[in-house]
Amino acid sequence: MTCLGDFPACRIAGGREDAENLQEILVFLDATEEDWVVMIDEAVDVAPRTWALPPEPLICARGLAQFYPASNSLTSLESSNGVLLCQREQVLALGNLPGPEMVMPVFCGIWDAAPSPERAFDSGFRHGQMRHAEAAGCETAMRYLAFEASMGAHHQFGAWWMLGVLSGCCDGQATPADWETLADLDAASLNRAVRDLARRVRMEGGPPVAPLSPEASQWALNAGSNWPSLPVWEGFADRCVELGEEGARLAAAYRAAGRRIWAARAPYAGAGSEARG
Amino acid sequence: MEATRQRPGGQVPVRVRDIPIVFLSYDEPWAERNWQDLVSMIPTALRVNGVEGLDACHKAAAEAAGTEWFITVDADTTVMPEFVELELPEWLFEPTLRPTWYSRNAVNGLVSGNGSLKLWPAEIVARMRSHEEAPDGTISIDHDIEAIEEGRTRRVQMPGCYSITDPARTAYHAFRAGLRECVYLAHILEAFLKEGRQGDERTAMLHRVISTWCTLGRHHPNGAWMMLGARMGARSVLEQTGWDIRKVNSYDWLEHFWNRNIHARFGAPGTTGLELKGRWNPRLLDAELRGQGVWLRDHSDLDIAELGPSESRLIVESDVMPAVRSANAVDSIARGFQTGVGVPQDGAVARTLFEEAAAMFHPSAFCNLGELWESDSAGSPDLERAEWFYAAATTLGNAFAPYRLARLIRAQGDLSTEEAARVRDLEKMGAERRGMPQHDPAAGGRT
Repeated sequence: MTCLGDFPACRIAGGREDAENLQEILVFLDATEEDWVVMIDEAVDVAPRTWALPPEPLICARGLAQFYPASNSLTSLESSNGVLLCQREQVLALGNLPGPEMVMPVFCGIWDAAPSPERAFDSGFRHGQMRHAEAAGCETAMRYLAFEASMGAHHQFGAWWMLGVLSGCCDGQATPADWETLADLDAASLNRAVRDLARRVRMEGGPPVAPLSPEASQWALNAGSNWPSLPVWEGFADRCVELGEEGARLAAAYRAAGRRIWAARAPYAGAGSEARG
Repeated sequence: MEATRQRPGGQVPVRVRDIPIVFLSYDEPWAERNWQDLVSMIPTALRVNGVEGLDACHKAAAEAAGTEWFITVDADTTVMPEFVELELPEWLFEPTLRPTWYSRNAVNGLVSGNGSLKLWPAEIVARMRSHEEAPDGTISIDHDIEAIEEGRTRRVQMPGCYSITDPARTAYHAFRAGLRECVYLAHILEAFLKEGRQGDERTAMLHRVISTWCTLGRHHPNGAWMMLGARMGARSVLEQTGWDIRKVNSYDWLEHFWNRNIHARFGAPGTTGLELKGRWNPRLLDAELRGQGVWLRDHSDLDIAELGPSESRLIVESDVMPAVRSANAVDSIARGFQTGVGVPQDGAVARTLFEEAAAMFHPSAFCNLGELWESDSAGSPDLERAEWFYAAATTLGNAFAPYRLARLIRAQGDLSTEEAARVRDLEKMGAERRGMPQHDPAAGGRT
C-alpha cells in the first residue's frame, strides 16, 4: 500500500455519533479484509491528488490514525472535517472511529461549510465555540477567529455561517436549537444581526471582527493558502518527536517545511486537532 | 571552479552574530533611526550609506565587511533579536549559495524576498553584474544570483521570518517600493507566460503576490501610495508599450517620475518634491487607484479587489496568507548536494533538504530520496526504502520514478509473472511521462 488510493474507502453519511452511520461503517468493515481503511467525512469534496498521497510508513508502523483535514470552503483555513486513515481493527475494538492521533499538514480537499442555511449556521456555531475556547490567551487563535467570523459574504449562505461563528463565541446568543426562530430572518435582518453581533464582540474585547464585503471575502478566500496553517505543521512535528529517532528526523523536516510556507514561529497549538464533528 | 567549504572563523556552531552585518541605506529619512536600533542590538554592525546603484552598494558592503561572508539589512528593515542568535547550518557556507530569510511587509503582510535578510558570499558579490552593472542588452532588476553561473549559483530561502520591512513611511517611498517590486514581479510573470507556464505553481504564486501588493494597504497611512505604485508597475510591464523597465533601477529617474507624474497630480498646493506630509487629494488618488485596477482586471488574470481600510487591516492582521515559497527550489538545492553541482557532494545534506521538500509533497523529492536510498549516499543503501520512495513518487506523478522503480525491481532478478507485469506497466508509464533515461538530462539523456 503506497498511497491513500490503495486503501478501501467509506464515505460517512452523517455525524460519527449517529448510530445508523456506525452500523453502516461496521457493514463496510465486515466487507473488507484490509488492515487499514479510509473514512471520508460528509460534505468533503476530496481532491483527486489526495488519493496519490503516500502515508508516512513510520506513522503507519505505529498504527496511528491519520487525519487529513479539508479546507473550509468559506475561509480556506482547516476544518475539523476531512479524511481519516485508520486501522480496521481499531475501529472494531472501539466500536467507533478513533480520534485523529496525527493531524497531517496537507489538505485532502474542501469541506462545504454552507450547503444550506441551517447547516451553515450550525457548523459556524460549532466552529465559533471551539475557536473561542482556543482563543483564550492565544493570540493566533484570536486572529483566526476574527478572520473566520468576518468571512462568508461572497457565498449564498455565508451570512448564516458568520452569524453562527459569532453566536458560538458569545454567551446568551442563539444556538442551533433555536433554528426554527432564526430561519424566519430575511436577508436584511440577517445582515443586520451579523453586524450588530460583530460590533458587540469587538466592544466586549473579543476578536476584532470586521465583516467583509462580498468582493473582499472572495478575494481573501482566493488569496488564502493551499496548506493547513502553521499550528497544524507544528502540532504534527511535535507528535512526530514522540516517535523516536526517525520521528525526530521527520519532525525536523515538517517543521522546516511549515516554516518555509508560513515563515513564522507563532507558538500555538489547537487548530486542526479538535474532535471531528 | 571547485567549491570549498570554510566556515567563518572556523567556529562551531556559527551564529548570525558571528558574521558581519552591514546596514544599507540611501535616501530613506528613517534610516538613521533604524540604524541606531540595529547598532543597539548589534554593536559591531557596519553601515554603507548613499552609494548609488544596487550592484555598487553591495560591492561596497562586501568591502566594508572585508570577510568571506556578510549579512545585509536594508534600510527599510527592522531585525528581530532572535535573528542574531540564530544558528546557521554548515552547508550554507558555500560560495555559490546566497541564503535569504524572508521579511514580513509591514503594509500588506506578505512574507517574501522583498526587504529580506541576506547572507552573501563575498565571492558571489565580486562576480555579480546586476542592476546598473548588468551587461548591455540584459534586463536586471534583481540580483540575478542564478545568472552568475547558471545551474551552480543559487538563492536559498531559509525557513522562518526574522524581520519586518516597512518601505512606506513616506508617500514617495511607499510609491517607489510598490512600483519597483511589481515591475520586477510582473517582468518575471510575463516571462513565465511567454514560456507557456500558465498552470504552474510559481506562476500561480506570482499572481497571488502581485495581486496582494495591488490590493492590500488602504488601512496604512501611505498604503494607497504603495498600491498605486504596485498597480502602475504591474501595468507598465503587462501593457507591453516597450517602456524600458530598467529605469526603476535609477533612484534619480524614480524621483523625477514622482515629481512630474505623481506629485504634480495628487500633491496638495504648498507641498514640495518628495514631501507630501500627508497632504494630497485622497479622492483623486482613489479614483486613479481604481482606474488602474480596472485596467489590470480587464487585461490580465490578476485578482485585484477594492478593499476598504478595515477589510484590508483584518486580512493583513489575521496572518492567513502563506509566504512566497517554492518546494521546487528546496529540491533543486538538495539535488545540487546530491550530484555535487555547484556545491560539494553531500548525501546527508541532500537527504535533509529532500525530506523538507517531500514534507511539501514535492514529487521529485520523493524520486530523489529513492535515488539516495538506492545508492549509498544517505548512509548504507536501503532498497526497501528506495522502492517505497520511487513508488510514492510514481503515484504523485513524477516522470522519472516509474522507470527507476522498474529498474530497481528488475535488478532483484527472478521476477514472478506478477512482478514482470508490474515492471512492464511501469516502463510504459515512464515512456508516457517522458521519464525514461533518454529523457533525463541528469542522466545525460536527450530532453
